[in-house]
Amino acid sequence: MNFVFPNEPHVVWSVMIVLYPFMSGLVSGAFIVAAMYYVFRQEAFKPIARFALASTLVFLVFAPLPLLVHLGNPARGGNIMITPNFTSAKAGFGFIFSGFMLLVSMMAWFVFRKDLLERARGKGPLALISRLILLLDTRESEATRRADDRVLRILGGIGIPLAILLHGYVGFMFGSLKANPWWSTPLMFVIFVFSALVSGFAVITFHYFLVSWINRWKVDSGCVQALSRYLWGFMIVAVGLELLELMSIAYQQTAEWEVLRRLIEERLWISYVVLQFGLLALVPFLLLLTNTLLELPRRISRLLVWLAAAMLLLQVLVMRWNVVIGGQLLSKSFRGFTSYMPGLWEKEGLFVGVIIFTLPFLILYGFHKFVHLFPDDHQARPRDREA
Amino acid sequence: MKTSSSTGSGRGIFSWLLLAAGVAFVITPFVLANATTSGRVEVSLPMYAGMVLGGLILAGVGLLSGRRTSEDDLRDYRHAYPMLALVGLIIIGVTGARQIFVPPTYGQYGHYRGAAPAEARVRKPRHLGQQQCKECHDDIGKLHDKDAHGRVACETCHGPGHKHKADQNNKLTEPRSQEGCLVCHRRLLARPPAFPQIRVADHYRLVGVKNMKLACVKCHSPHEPLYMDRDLRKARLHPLVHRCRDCHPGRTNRGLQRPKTHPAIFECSYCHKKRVADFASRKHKKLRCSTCHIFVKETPFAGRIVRDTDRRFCLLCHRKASFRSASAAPGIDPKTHMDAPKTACIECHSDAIHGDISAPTREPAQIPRPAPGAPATTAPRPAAMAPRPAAMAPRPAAMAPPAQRPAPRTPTAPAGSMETHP
Amino acid sequence: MSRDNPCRWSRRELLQALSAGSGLLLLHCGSQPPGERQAQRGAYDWNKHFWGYAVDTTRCIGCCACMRACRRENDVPLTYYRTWVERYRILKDDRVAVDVATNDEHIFSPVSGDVKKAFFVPKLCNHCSKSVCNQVCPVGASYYTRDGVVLVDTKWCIGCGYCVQACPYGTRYIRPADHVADKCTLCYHRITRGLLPACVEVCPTKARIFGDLKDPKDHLVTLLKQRRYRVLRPEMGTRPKCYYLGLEREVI
Repeated sequence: MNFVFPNEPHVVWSVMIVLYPFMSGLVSGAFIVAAMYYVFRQEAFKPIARFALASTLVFLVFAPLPLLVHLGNPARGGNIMITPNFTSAKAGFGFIFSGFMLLVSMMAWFVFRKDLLERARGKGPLALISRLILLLDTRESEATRRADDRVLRILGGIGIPLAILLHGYVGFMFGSLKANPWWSTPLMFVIFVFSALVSGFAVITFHYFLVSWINRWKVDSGCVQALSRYLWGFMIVAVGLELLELMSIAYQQTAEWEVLRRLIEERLWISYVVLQFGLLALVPFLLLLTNTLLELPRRISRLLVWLAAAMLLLQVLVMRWNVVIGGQLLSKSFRGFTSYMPGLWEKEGLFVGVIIFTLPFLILYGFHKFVHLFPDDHQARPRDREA
Repeated sequence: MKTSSSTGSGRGIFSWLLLAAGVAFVITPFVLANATTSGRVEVSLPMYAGMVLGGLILAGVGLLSGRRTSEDDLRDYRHAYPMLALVGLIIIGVTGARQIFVPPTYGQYGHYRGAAPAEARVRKPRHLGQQQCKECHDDIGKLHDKDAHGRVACETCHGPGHKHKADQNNKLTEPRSQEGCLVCHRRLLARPPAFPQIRVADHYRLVGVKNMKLACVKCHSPHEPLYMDRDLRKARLHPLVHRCRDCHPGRTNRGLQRPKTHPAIFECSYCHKKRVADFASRKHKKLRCSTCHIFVKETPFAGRIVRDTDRRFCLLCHRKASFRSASAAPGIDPKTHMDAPKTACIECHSDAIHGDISAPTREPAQIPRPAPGAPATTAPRPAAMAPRPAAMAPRPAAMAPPAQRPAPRTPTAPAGSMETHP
Repeated sequence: MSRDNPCRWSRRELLQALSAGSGLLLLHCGSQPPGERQAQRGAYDWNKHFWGYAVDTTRCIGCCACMRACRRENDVPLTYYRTWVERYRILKDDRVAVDVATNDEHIFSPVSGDVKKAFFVPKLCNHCSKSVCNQVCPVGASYYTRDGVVLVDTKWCIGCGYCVQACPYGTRYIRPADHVADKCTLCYHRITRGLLPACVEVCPTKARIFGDLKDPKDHLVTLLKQRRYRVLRPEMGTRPKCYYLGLEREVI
């Protein structure tokens, strides 16, 4: 009784398209973390604000890479900006993306101006590059710093809606496809936005802990608490929306539910029910709940938050998988499912995916060598001395 | 930039330049759009947006940088101006430069490359169509058109003809295997019931063929499938006389082109010579054969010739009526004509029509041949054929197999039954 | 329009100069197969046509000659389909079993089962007048010609696959050779020369009917006037131009 249209065994959107919304979500989420400090002046986020902004920029550079790898004709990728067809939800991609890229680059320029000035005062090629990036203007004073703060606030203010748009529209791209009942829902935009926030906060939290642990720095507890609370809140909304979507189709018992129920039961049981809602949502929820409600020893509290962040990061990845791949497993004939297993070494396979996902972190490491991603006192105060 | 406002000296040359450039960029797309109403340059939305946004940024930086500043100011933005101006230029540059890459015919007919539809037409067709085939294969074409496969295109079975047309050494495929026919004629539940389809085992058992692998074309000619190449017919259907081999049995290596001298309309006497000659001496000689032997069309492609032996059929002419003239056929009153009024007329009056109706009626055709001995070679029986019942003797004999023919119907046959000629 | 073929230009000029009939024309351009439609023997003007398609499901015998012909005419690689024939079997317990002859030769084999009703349904691109695939193409590489055909500009397509996802009928695929979206073109290279699409040409039972909706005398127009028909998935709002005669309720 399993029937798919004969073209459907070729699953067009692969691991790369799973990776793309994941990375684009990291961009938007990380940007909001940075905006917490630069726009909303939440002092708790100060220790990771620069790190978050740098992460945004690096993820942003690599986010379109999976898309390009996936494109049948990557050389024609520019067509999307040369002849954008604005009836398409995808046509705005080039412009929104480049606009956001320009904006984040500007913010980074203002944020890291101080470091660049430091470098520019030295000698050698690095100093020359720094001077060029600074456009040869090396004046610095309280007044310029205050000006930078204000410009950052304005740019951040513009950036927040752009960040939401950047990722929400990825959700809209799926949600607006009426042919596919697994995707076609107006909630998709909102779900994507909130899952992006979750993944952004999770990746910053996770990475911050990781870097501190490797460098034996002291982690800022206020910052951790703030991160964990936001993470907790956003994950409740995100998972709540995901559940709401599922529940409403299930309860309405529409014609589509027949086949969607089969899709969940037969093809997505592990990744959707067990992982996305079970293990990777419920457990972090409980961990963060415990951390928020109980006064735990600092060490345990940090472990819980770190674990929760890691799991939520995975949860968002699994959610992207369930959306992108799940929707394609479902035949548009509503009479069956195709199957998809990513290859390891192929062009759009797992290996390339891992490489693409690892690259931003490597670049971030290089970035870290060039400018200060964390406050100076942070780096000067290793955990050993704290004891 | 530094020179323009290092000590708050007011509007410098750069500020003015930026302001002017910004305003110019804001205006440019509108001017362009108006100047090129001929439609040659499409000023697209991104170009509008980019130029205006970039222009506004430039003009804004121009205005800001021209502000009078002093050392007491809380904030000093001067270091940001070059960067902001650069961003404005980048926006203008990118949105403007992308316009260069728009293909020239883009937007000619809609939001697509205008040259594309013409490109889609360039390719040469591969399936050439029946007309093209018939330009050379008119003979087969005419045979084919008349029979059940008349609406099946040549290329349905033979595949696309483009290579064959370019070079006749490229032979077309001839699906002569059993499978080739079964693609369409295998019995499938989903096939419309009216469509002729067989289950090979059943069909072969019915016609007495033991070799289940025997190709369909051993009996059916693919171009004239209703006609049997071997006389396997149980003689139910009178063949529609429109196929060469109805009259010219056997195979030939020559083309089946119809000679110019060939009669266009077939007459019964071509095959039923003795019967027609005999009829000429009977009372009904003024009638045409088809008066009584009516052609009944059963499908668009097939029919049979029946004779109507119902007394009511005879009475159409022979009923006594006051309005009939003296020269009319002799009339009777069916109520008083006979003791047993239900008896068929032909039971007593057959001699008024034909003589011995059990005698063989058909002989090989006696019509002019185009060239001496051209299509008269009779192919040997296929070796694969199962031993054939006596009724399936080689064709010339089968033309007149009186011994195997079912006995002529006795006069007691139910009146009105549609009997068929063999 | 037809810059691709200088022969056609010269033909048209010749035609205009001589005011000759179309028969003469055919003698002059031997490289082109003669048209089957009188009206189209001159240079092609896409404003004069609006192509439509009908499928009489009651006539389809599931021989899949259309699939083989399409593959040969358009070099469609194996496992990809511009057109296909679905076999529906409605079982006694009202379950619906559907299959497509996806073997290399596209030949249906008999299947046993407690079948209440069975029939074939040919499928192809519906050339919707409000097609989703055109709507979602981000670069305008998928377009609707003036004569009513949805085509892909294979020189401009970036191969993102969005249209493949958007088509409710599953008629699009990414062509493996050059990684662009591909689909039924209604044999645009044929119909603009006055030939029938390959699938229509070879259909032995005339279950596939192709015609010009702008021509009031066209067989298709008459057929649509006289018979009841449906389109596939009308609720998608795509306004398909492939009309199905005798379509069963179960068909999606």
